[in-house]
Amino acid sequence: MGDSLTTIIAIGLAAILMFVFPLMAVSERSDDISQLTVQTATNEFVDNVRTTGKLTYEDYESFLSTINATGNSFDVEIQIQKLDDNLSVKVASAETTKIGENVYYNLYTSQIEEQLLNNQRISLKEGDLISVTVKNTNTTISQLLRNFFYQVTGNDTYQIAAQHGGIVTVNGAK
Amino acid sequence: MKIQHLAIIFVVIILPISIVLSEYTSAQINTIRLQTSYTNSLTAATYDMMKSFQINTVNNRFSAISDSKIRDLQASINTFYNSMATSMATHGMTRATLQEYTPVILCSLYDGYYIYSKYNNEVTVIKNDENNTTDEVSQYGLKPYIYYSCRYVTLDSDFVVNYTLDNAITVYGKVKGDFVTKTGYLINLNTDIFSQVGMDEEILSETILTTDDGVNLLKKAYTYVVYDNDKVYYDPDESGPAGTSRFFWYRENKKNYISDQETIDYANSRLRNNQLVSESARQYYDEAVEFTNWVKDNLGDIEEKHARNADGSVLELETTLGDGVKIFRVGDQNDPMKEGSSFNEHRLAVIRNSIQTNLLAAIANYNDYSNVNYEFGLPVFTETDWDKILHNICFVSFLQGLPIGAKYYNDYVVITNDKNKEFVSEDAIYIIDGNGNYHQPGCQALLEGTLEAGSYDHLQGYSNISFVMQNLTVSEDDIHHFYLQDNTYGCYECVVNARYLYDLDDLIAGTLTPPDGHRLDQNCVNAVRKAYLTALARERYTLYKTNGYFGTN
Repeated sequence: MGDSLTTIIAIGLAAILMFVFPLMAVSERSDDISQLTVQTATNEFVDNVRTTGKLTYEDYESFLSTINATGNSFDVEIQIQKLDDNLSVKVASAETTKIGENVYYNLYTSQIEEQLLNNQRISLKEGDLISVTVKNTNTTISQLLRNFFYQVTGNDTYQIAAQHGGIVTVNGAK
Repeated sequence: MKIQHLAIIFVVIILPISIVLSEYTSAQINTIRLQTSYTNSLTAATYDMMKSFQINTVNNRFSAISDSKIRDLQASINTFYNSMATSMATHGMTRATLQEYTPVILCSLYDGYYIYSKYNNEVTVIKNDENNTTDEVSQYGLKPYIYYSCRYVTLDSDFVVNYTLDNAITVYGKVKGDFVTKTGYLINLNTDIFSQVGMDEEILSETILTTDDGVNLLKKAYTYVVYDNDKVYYDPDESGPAGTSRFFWYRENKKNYISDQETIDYANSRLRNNQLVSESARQYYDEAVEFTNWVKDNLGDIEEKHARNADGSVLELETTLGDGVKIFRVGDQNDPMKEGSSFNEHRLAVIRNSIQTNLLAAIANYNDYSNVNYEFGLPVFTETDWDKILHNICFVSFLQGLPIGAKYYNDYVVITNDKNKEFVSEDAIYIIDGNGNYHQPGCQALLEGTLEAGSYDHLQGYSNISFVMQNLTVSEDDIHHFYLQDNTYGCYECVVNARYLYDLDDLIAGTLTPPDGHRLDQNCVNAVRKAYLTALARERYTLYKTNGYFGTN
């Protein structure tokens, strides 16, 4: 009786050690590599928009395909803040170069996607702001295995996330 | 062997592999993180450098003149290093350390470029200024200005053409046996867009803030014309001291009434009903026609095979036009104002070749001066980056050789800008409508005629720097702001929120096509096109050219 119990426990332990543990380790690494890819792609995408002053449908598509190539599905949130230059003309004391004295109009992901579909591009100007946040929406294998042992609760249970943003440096009218 | 033993052996093998792999991956992630943070600092610093150049040139009335430009550029480079040092301070970097890792900074301007790098000071006479170093000591600084130039040699000609970012060129040397020095604009005379719209005289006005006594401020709009690269304003109400006129230059926040007879004579000839009337746009066109005809007659047979290096050997360019393609024979097939024409293809190839060769040499030479254990080299620019460099004023900064974990950092950042006094790009013109709103020339509402009543009564184009805030500094704590085009507001359809813009090349050529569901108003299109082309011609004509030889020879 005692022997069989030990054997069962041993088999259980062996299974965990020989299958689950390496699988967890490998899947964690795989997520790390996805994280690396997504972070790099996000930086490149945002910096390209910032230095060219335009967001094109083609660039957006290629960004999405790069991050989706990691085998995960992602929720991409883009926020564009368009600077209103007119305030400093109307109000003598306001200065657009000062923080807190600007008015921005916000564009969010769905509006941006709609404009990209209709016009193929969004032109930005110097002083506008863009920020992109990427989070995975699927459950990666490492998350699955982890949840097997301990549950992580809450809304933001993402494993792969990247964020980048900044000021647009040039007028992208042409 | 018991299964427990097997498990232990398995764990003993797998555990170190897993730990090493995990360490490796996290080191890679840290490397990328550090790389990203350096790139961000570099982008921010280069943008600060551009912003500083923009602010300095906009507020500097002499910014285009080369001495003043060098000072502005040095200030910009100073800003670059300050910004880098501030953002990299957390990584333990100081300005002096960072300077070691930036082999060169490229400042490409309208008709040439500066390279900022380390060089040997060959000065033999040492002045007593504190900044002067002794002979043969290497120091950082701007190397001599390099023009976008190319030499052409044929049987009876040997001359150099200086290209610019637009359709202006300067030709000097022996052309068909005669020595010439000429500057001018090349335009397509077969389909003449300027005569299609008609280049008229126009009344230009600007609001300036002046303080003649250093205490009281006066903000007022004056009409002006540009004479001898300087704006001459007309004051209908006041005149200066005896011996001067009602015309003045804007100098050091004051109205500097003019006593120079030549300028007064010109300004008087432009005075109609108490207003100055500018003819710059028409002069641009007239001179462009004359110059283009001269180029056609004298340089019409020049091909790419005639291009030479400085030593006389044949110049090999990256894009070849092929035999028989005449670079300067302009017409419908070779329109200098259109992308893709032979003239432009060749011009871009020359500029690209010049920048590439000189940057390569500058970075390679930097190895001789550098104390850093890293082989500096010119990275390969992407085509997108070349596109940015060749079409606008730009600063390119390089940061190489910083150890970042698994490898060395090696990156560059290209920042372009179209709001400066250096160059009037095609998208650097805004159109003011009759209601005091200003628009991009490709504005949908403007071209489709959907603006409110009164908007189309008077359309006038100005360069975009007229809409940038200007400063007047009375004392350190007493700074006032004003706009050259006062009380004008950016259109919410195009300037503030650039939703959809018509293509400028189509507007210039007069071949606009509306997207589905939209309809152009042809009267509005014609009016906008005329205002736009007039402004483009005028602003380009009045741009100060360091290397310009208009009207001579």
